[in-house]
Amino acid sequence: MEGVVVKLPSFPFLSPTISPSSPYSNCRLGFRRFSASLSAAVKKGSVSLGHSTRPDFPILHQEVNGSKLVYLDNAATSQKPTAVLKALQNYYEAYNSNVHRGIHYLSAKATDEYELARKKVAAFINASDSTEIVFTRNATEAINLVAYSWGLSNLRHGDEIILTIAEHHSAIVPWQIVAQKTGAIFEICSVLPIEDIVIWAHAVGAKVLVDACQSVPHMAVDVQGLDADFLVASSHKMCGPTGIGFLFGKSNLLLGMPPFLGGGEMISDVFLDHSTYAEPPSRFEAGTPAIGEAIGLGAAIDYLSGIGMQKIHDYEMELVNYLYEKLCSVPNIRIYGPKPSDNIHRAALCSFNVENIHPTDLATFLDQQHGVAIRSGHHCAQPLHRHLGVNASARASLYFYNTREDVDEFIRSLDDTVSFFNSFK
Amino acid sequence: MRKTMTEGVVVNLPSFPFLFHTVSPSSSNCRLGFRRFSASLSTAVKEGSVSLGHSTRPDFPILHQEVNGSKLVYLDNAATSQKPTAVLRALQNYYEAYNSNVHRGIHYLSAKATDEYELARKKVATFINASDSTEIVFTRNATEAINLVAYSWGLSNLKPGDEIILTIAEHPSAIVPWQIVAQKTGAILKFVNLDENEVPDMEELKEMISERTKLLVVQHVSNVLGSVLPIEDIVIWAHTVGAKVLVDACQSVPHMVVDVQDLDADFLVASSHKMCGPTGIGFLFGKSNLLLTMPPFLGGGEMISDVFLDHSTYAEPPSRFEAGTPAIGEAIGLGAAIDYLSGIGMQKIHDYEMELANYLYEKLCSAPNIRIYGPKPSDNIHRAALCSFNVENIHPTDLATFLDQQHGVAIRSGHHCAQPLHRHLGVNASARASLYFYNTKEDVVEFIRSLNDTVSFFYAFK
Repeated sequence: MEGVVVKLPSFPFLSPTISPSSPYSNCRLGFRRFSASLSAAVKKGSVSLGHSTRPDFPILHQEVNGSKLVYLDNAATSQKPTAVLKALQNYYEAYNSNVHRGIHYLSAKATDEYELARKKVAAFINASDSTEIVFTRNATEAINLVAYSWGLSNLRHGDEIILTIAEHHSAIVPWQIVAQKTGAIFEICSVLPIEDIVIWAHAVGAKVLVDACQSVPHMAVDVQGLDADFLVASSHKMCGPTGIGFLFGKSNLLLGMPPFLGGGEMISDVFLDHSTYAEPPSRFEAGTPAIGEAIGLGAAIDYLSGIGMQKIHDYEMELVNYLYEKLCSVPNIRIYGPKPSDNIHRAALCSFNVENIHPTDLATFLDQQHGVAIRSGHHCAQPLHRHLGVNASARASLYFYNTREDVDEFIRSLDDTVSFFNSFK
Repeated sequence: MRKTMTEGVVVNLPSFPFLFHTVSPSSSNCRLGFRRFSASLSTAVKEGSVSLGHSTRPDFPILHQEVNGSKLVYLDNAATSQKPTAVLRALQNYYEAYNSNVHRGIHYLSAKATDEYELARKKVATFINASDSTEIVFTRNATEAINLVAYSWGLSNLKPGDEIILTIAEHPSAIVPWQIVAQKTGAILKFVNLDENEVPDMEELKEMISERTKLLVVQHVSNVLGSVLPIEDIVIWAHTVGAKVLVDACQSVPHMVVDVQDLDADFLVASSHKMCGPTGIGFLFGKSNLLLTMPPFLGGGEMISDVFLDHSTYAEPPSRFEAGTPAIGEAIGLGAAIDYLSGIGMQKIHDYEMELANYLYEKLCSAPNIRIYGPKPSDNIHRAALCSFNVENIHPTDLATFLDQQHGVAIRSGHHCAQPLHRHLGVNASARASLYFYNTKEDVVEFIRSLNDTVSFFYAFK
């Protein structure tokens, strides 16, 4: 048996202190801004990306519980610009029809737009061909597709699957299910850059499945540059509708994979005792697709591309540095994950705890008294929280339509919240 | 040895000569003057008052356009339905006002999104008279719902030699998941053929049921034949031997009252896009006691209780079967579609469609050399509001193309996702016109006029 074990180098500043009693404040003053080139949008005197895009998002302009909404829950889901809502509306009002097997005008148009959306996804992540894009309900289903199709037909007893302790449940549980069925084994490691992971994995003939839910919406992701074997993402996290996501799989891999869901659309011929199957991607898309939603995702990609992913990323790096710096000033706060520096980029989110205040209390007070929307809980990462020695954390997560004022308001509200709860002690 | 059916129910129907027709594709199978069977005329179609089609059409923006220079006549409803403004508004309102992730959020938007999503689930439950909303699992479509039953219930309950009974008219979405599961478990698929009325043969089905039968998978309404199966009877026969019944209700739930408690169905599936709702959402109904014992299908966030490194524990149904972020907006849109349909009333919709279906059938009979598949409508045999047909010597794709390009009439041609059925009928493909409550007599008249023109055009070359 050829068990595969990857031994990974450890990075000192990546090891979190595990003891729950350690000092909560883990911020150093004066950490360096690392963004090599300041995006023009945030130079003093010009309009920031957040300010210029906010008018496109109707939902952001409302009051919640008597306060202006400050939406900082983007890692859970993103808001949708008017352009996407218009595309969705237009589909249903003008050419809604079933795809792929129709002759008439509406059906032909719906089919064209649906397949155009597939091409847009392919171009967005630089897949070599749109046949490498399979539409799913969300990234979770995409991972299950790889697990049930590629996993069940390729994994044998003793084979090893390596994940990180920080993986989302949607990346862990499907592989637990498949491991139970095949006898494969889990290994856990710490966080590392994708391109390197892929090189190391390919050196031993292993495949890499990249969960890109929090990257595709926020930065340029190039699957050919990464040489990833599989990559998944969800539309609703990248300004697109709910109900649609995608799997990228290298052509040669998809071609070798048996079907997952069976039904109409994915077949070639249906006989009573057996069926023959379509080529990818149709092989993995059973039944009527989420047509309107795919077209909405295409519109979201148009919108994001119109801004530019590098510009979005640069702006978010500025904003997250600002968030991190400000958050550090909150008394007795513990922020999880790496400090941003020249070498370490943080995504535009911070999970944190404030000593002696339950994150759910924080989040509730922030929402009810200040209209600030953050999330609290285990964020679908129970193993990580267990490893960090906590039950739950609070999380503020940004997107390109957030502004410095949002961050200021959040910090001000958080200070007020902390004072409120500390006054009882 | 097959155990004798202890409680078979046989209904001897009086014979009607016009129900027997020759199978040869060259003969015209319509007799003039067949009886209208609709017992009570819906007031909406009484002469002089506004029909349901006319009163609802203004709600459907898509219907008011021209296609290829002609007014659109949309007769492809069995493939997908159109959406009323109320549904589009609900979808729009979700995204503009309270879009947020559900179930695990504290803040205002999240709480509202969660409430509306769960309210949509309740609406589905009420619509089909499920006893509890926990019996409703949201899926992408009916196809995924059937796969859920196959992978979850099927893989953990089927053993070599167990039998699954389907009909020859089933959609691939009802056949292929069970072929996959049969390969993995050693179960055997058996198919019921058509009787002389071109409906699945209930006598043959009864005889096929034995103690080896574990599951029956049946379409409530056939998307090709227009036949309606006696689900209540099928369920009684199945339960007598301890078999379960999975009802494919894709073509029934949108068009008539469907009551899962009356039917006593074990599983039932349907798709939103066929019932005035958005794409990307469908549902599985499963009896509570069944769902509770079923292992998970898709793994991930939302469907777990606790996640450890080497194993996880799972949530109760329906969450157990809903992994990852759901199609929140789409579920809410489906809820709005149910509100819209309920506002009209499913009985009223059904009655109107029966009138229209009879009118369509009667008119279609008058087209030269036409062969309509499925049963003739009568007092005892209800046809759904669709007709699959062939015209001698004209390929259905040519028919459909000409109808679209010259007349703006949208029908479908092909095997309608029913290859085994078409093989059984001895054809490669057929054309299909399928109606919904927003169609009118004028749509049917225009269709027939266009069809006659089309047939004349192609015959001019012969």
